[in-house]
Amino acid sequence: MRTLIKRSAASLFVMSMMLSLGVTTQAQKAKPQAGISVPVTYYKLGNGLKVVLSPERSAPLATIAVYYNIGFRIEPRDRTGFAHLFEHLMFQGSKNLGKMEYIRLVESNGGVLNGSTRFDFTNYFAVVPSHKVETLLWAEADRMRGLDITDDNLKNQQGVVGNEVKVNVLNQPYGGFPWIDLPMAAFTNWYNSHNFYGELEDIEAATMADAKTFFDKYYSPKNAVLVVTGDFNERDARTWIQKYFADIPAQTPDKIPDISEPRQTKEKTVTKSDKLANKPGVAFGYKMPERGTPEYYAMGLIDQIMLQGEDSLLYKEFVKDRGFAGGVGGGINSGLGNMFNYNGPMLFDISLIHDDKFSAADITRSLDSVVANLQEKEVSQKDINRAIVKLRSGLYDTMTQFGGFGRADLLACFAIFDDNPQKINQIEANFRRVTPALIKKTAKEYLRSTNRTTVILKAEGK
Amino acid sequence: MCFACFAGDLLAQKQTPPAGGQPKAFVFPEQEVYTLPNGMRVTLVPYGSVPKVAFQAVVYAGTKDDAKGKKAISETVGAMLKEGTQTRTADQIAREIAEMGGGLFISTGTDSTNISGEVLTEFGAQFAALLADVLQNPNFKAADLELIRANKLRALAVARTQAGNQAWSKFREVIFAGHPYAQINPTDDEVKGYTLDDVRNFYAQFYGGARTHLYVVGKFDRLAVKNAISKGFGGWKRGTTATRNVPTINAKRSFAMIDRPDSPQSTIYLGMPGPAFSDPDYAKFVVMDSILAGSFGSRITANIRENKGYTYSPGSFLWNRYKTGYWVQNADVTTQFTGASIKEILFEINRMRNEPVGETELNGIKSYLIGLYVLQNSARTGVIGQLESMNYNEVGKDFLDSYVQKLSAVTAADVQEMAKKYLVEDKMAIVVVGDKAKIAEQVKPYEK
Repeated sequence: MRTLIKRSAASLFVMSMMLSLGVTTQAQKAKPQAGISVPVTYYKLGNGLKVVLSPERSAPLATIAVYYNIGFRIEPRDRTGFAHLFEHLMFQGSKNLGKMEYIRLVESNGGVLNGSTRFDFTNYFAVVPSHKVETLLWAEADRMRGLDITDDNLKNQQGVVGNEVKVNVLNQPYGGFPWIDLPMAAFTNWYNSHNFYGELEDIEAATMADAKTFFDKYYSPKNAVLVVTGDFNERDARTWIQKYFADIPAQTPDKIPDISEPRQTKEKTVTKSDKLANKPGVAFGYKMPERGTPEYYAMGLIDQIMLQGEDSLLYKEFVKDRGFAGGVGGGINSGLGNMFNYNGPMLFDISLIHDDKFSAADITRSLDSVVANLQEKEVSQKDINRAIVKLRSGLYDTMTQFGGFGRADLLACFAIFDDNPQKINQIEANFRRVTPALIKKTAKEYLRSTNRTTVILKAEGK
Repeated sequence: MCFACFAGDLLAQKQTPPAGGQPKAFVFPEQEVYTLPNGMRVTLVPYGSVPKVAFQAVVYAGTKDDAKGKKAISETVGAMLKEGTQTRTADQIAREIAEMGGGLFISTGTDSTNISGEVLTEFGAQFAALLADVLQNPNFKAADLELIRANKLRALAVARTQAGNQAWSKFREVIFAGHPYAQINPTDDEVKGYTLDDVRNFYAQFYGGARTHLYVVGKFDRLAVKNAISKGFGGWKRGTTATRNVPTINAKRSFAMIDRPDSPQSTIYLGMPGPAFSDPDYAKFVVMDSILAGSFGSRITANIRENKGYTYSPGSFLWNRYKTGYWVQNADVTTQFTGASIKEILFEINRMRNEPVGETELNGIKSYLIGLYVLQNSARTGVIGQLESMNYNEVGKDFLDSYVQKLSAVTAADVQEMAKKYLVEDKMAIVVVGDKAKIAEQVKPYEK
């Protein structure tokens, strides 16, 4: 875990093939648009599986990714860390692939693989040479169909996951700071505020029955999207997808419980002691506006202007002018993804590790002065333009890095969260709609101190 | 237990996966390489369809060149390049590069300082000009040195509390004793002792065209960028020539333990000298290492992680510098299984030495390594990394083009020979960082 981004040519021949194979939705053809644009073909199988195909031929590689619409946000209450533990179990064996066989299948075919569990999805993906797409589709279908695992597998992965939590959190100074600590402090709905990496006792308490229940509830084609992107032939891919996935039985996934948060009306401050750390830290979390709204896009620009890069307001204030720290981190969904790949309450966070001679109060006062500027004065169009250039450059990287995985990630999330993977081609346009007035209004509402939670890390190590 | 198994299928034969098609040939991108009159080398690689271009200036001056008592002054010099030139403030540099869609990143290692950035294609020539200014016209100011000093002291303090840093630092002290590679971090006193003159002197002595190689990879206007490079760097002084400093590795059997009371895990570093990048054994050793330890499906990972659950994060790497190689296996393991983990690692090493690997396992790993090579070379920075390795290690251009063939040619006998030749227990160094009270007895058998 914790690894915690040309035109589609759907011909008449392909359309008629789709109808005869029982596909329920017409493929949506991509139209090229101004700005960053990728081809997108989108359809659903009879069992509800969403499929997104997006060719890109700059390297002889393809990414095959399956995203299930279940993350750790809504895992069972007495089983913190379970969604992540279950992700590990998905690699332990299915009907035609025994323990370690999926891993060896990918690697021996020249590919790399991983999976991860986030707030609102769990993903499984491989980046393989383009001539191995069929092999991977077969393998992903095999484990979507069902796991074939033993008590020993579960015990083994409980040991592995326990060590994961130890190496990343329990045996590290600043282990869960701020990516676990801040949401736990900021949110009040248990779904958003529990320790999603898992308390060791909960990880140890998990049973095979828990695993079966979880699989039945959430690991169904109806609750998933399959993305294939990179160098592959669309027609062949459709044939293979139909062949391997179409007869996996559909199950209606469990309804998502109420994950809403009340509007925050008081500033919150929490102090956390860290026995391993020897320098203090401070983290601030502001609750994000609803995903997809104009204010949400405004926050994306505020993040760039305020926090991202050495031209940002807080880098200048905290690092250059005040000398609090050597760097300042954070962003939207900064610990576990980006501003596009989540679907629920979220924080915009800012964090730093600093010297003892500065207090959290000093740093907060400094932050307040930067925020006040954004709330009282409109930023210039030049500032907005620079923020958009940074975003655009970053989007190019997301869309092309790591063999196309970043692109697959965006396509998958827009499919499972919004039933509209075409949104990938609208990202830039949505940012360009943001005005200086909207940024000011958004800063006033969402950067108000009564929307803020502060975690002060007290260093108790030597 | 099988969820969602279809009735009647439980006893059916397992399906074999479809084999897939035929591989496409991989060709390493074309390079244009030339040298300016002042000795600075330039490598241009038009590559990819994404409208971005990556620059990396490698200056062959690093921590191995620090004067005694001034460890990591080279890193401070690198950091201070960003703090302003004769005509640009730090803020102006940051803003200018942001407007090009990029950032400036400076990092210093043992042998070189890398100054790099990626910008949108249309700003290629402009970035080249800015890079030239940053490298040639630094404005070293006392106030900036104070901030950088404070940041370094804070970072050193934090590193001292991280088990991984503790283990690797100790490991380097042991295997490179007496050589600049032995000391990763300066002491606090050394950092407190840096002066502005130290910075100026290091810069004057070590920065110039002769020590610099500039890489440009991506989509760019070749003519405009070449002109900007000539104009920007043509007038730079030649400066001193880079030197080599090949260590004599301490190849004696050793064991060291650092106490980390109450630690839930032990951090293990274990290794032996290995081949250099330029050594004819290199490709064969890489294949052996991948089977043993360096892949998710490797033997050590399958054993201590996927079979026994002792660890989440086992891994190996071959630490390479010029004519230098050292193989390392590391893992963070449950405290109570520290001794058991070392036992299993040694068991797998001995198995590699004593039994030839099977053809399926061998072919699988070769396929994995070739796939990895293609993946790494599908990114601008990956391409730069490969070219830089080739140049730094002086292996010649055909190394990259023949690497895939070299991997494919490795036999089971080669693999066993590599294990026998290099993974020798008499030359093994072990460092363990963990709860001494709980692990002292467990590790006793491995102290000698």
